[in-house]
Amino acid sequence: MSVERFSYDNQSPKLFALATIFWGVVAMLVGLTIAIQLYVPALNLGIPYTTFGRLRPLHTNAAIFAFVGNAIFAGIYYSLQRISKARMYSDVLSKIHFWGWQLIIVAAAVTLVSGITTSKEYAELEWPIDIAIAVVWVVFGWNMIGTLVKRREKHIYVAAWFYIATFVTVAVLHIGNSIELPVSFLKSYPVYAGVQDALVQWWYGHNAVAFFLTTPFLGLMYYFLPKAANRPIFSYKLSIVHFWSLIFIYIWAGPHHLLYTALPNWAQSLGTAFSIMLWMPSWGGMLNGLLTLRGAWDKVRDDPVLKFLVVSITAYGMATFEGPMLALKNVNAIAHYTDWIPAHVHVGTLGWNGFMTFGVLYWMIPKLFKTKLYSKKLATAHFWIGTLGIITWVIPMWWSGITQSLMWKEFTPLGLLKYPNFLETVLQIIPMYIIRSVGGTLYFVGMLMLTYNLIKTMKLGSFAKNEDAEAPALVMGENKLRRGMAHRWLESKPILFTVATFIVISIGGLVEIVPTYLIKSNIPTIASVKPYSPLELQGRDVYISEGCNNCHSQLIRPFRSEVERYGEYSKAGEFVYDHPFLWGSKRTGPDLARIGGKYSDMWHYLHMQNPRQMSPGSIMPEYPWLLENRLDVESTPAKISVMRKLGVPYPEGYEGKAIADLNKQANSIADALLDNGIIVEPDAEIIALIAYLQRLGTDIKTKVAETK
Amino acid sequence: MFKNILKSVEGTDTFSIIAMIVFFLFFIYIIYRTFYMDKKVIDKMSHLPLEDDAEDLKTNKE
Repeated sequence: MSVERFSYDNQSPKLFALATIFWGVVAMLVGLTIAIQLYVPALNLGIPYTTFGRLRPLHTNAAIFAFVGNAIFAGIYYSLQRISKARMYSDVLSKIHFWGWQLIIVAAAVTLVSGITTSKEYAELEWPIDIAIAVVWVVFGWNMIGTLVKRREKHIYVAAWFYIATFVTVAVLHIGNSIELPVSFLKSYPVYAGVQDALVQWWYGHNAVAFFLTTPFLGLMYYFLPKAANRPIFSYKLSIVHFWSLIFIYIWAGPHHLLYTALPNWAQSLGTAFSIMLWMPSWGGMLNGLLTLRGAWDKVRDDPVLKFLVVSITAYGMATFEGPMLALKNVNAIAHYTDWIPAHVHVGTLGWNGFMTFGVLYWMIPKLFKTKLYSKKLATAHFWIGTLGIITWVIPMWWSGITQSLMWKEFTPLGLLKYPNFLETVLQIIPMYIIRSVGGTLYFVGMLMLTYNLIKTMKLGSFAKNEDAEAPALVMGENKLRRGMAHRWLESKPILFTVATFIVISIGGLVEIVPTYLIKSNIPTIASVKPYSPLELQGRDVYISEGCNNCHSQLIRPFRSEVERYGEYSKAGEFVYDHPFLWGSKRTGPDLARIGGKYSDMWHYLHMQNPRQMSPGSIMPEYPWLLENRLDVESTPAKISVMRKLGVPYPEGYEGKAIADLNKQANSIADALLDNGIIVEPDAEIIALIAYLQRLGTDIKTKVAETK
Repeated sequence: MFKNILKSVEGTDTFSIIAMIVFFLFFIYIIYRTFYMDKKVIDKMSHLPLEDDAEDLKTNKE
């Protein structure tokens, strides 16, 4: 057998690692800012670019796709070459992947703060960026599968299966959820509406957590934990079972994000059942990780890398126990829309993703630079301050979530809401928000310590772009299908394996989504629900652009406490013209599904100018620019036309009349405001927003009036 | 449009049940196969990530 000489590409993992650190600092700084904005509204600065509604998507996107994304690629580019005993397939593809991904991140940051957003959580980027993501993602997959095809190691180690599953599934999810019709260069409407849009979005959203934040990190765990502990994984068999059951089950669980909504009941139950089943494979993975350290816990005592990995895996175990619990309908009834959800999410991101990333970086950077970590003490201090940060972040948010939820639901003996004013329940949890931001600060300080430590380490060492290696050439053909070897055969064929994974994840997704297309009775239509007027449609886009859906839901669940507070519960048929749906997932402010007609136009005007004029103590940002900014009226015909293509029944040729109708409605609102002494141009954005808000939820009210 | 194509397919409501059964059977098959995997292979596989350390020592003479 001939021994081949080759070299590993160390440049790509290094670049991705540097990007991880840089974007990590940015993402955490933005996160800290929005955490403080919740109790110091003045920190929104009174300008559009820094309001909570725009920074929150920036934070989530930066944390997930920039920080965690680059960490995944750094880890994959390092480990995949070594378990394959081969250099990455193509240096050019590696470069395109790296620079393409960073460009996407910059484009995302610029568009999000400019209010260019689709409003769909974790998929806020507009269509040109969506296309760029798809292209760069395919480059990544091509490079990875190419590497596996030309590998020198006969077997494909389990970490690579997780990488492949990540590539395939994220591609499917991203494309499936981004099917949209462009209106202009940076504006589009999704082809799905209302309930379907919600279902597709959370099929994506849930599985983005699964296949962007979980499977790649399990892959990293299966490589870097044995490396750091210098012992093989506890049970290789368990890793196989764990892999297949995880990807089988995960893809079905998305509807648990929509419990008690207008989603059909069978889909909700499906989501819950699979979420509970998901607990088992998740814990299979956690135990496999922790048991790898059996008999070696003394190493954990003095190795900061292992410390980070152990807490990371433990956080994974906690989050994946909490997840199925939150998917139970009765728990979800309390937790949904509250701070409990960000608490759950941050056990995952700060604990599982963050700590795994830190562990990998502390291990990998010294290896790449052929030196030792600059300061083990500093890394250990980072570990402790980071752990304290997580605890101080998560516990107050659990507390505030449950507190606020119970306050929303409390009735007096006379059967009235005990806290009818939503603001009371917000003021109650402000101290928790303050403590949470202290936790965030601690975690951020830890990140800065890591940055310093690793820069020092890099300066100590010497980096070579290529690392020489040698391995025997892979002789194919000796690897025939033998009895009892079916899985080995499958795993030795990367392309076949990719296809198998694709089939497995597709079936689950199809079963969830296809029936809502087919069965008309799933979405009962309501005769009185009519398309938005041109002005309301424009107002809706202002609502989307400002990111109002980040803090306000538009879905009233069928609970006595919610019907009492907000009005009649939401019906699936009310959302049939909503491209996109705007149900939201968090009630930092009250639900707006039936806000229409509740307050006067003047109230809304003054409230947007400065919320504290109308609700003293409110934590909502001010929106003074809405009173001045001019609406882009000229875009109306194009929007109407796209909406009709998507099935919204605007009459043929309505484009021609739309602007006239818009002006007419705008003038009547402006005139009414003038009667109250408020002088405002009819083409100000605020007029459109008021028109939209006053329309919300009134279709059903109209029906009641008519039947009377 | 693909909505109409799907609509014309009969028995789509049993589709999910069939899919579920196929899933389950395939899963059982994998568990069965995994359980009877060759011990030597398992051992070799689980030591894969540790091997390149030896490579490192061989190739990167410091």
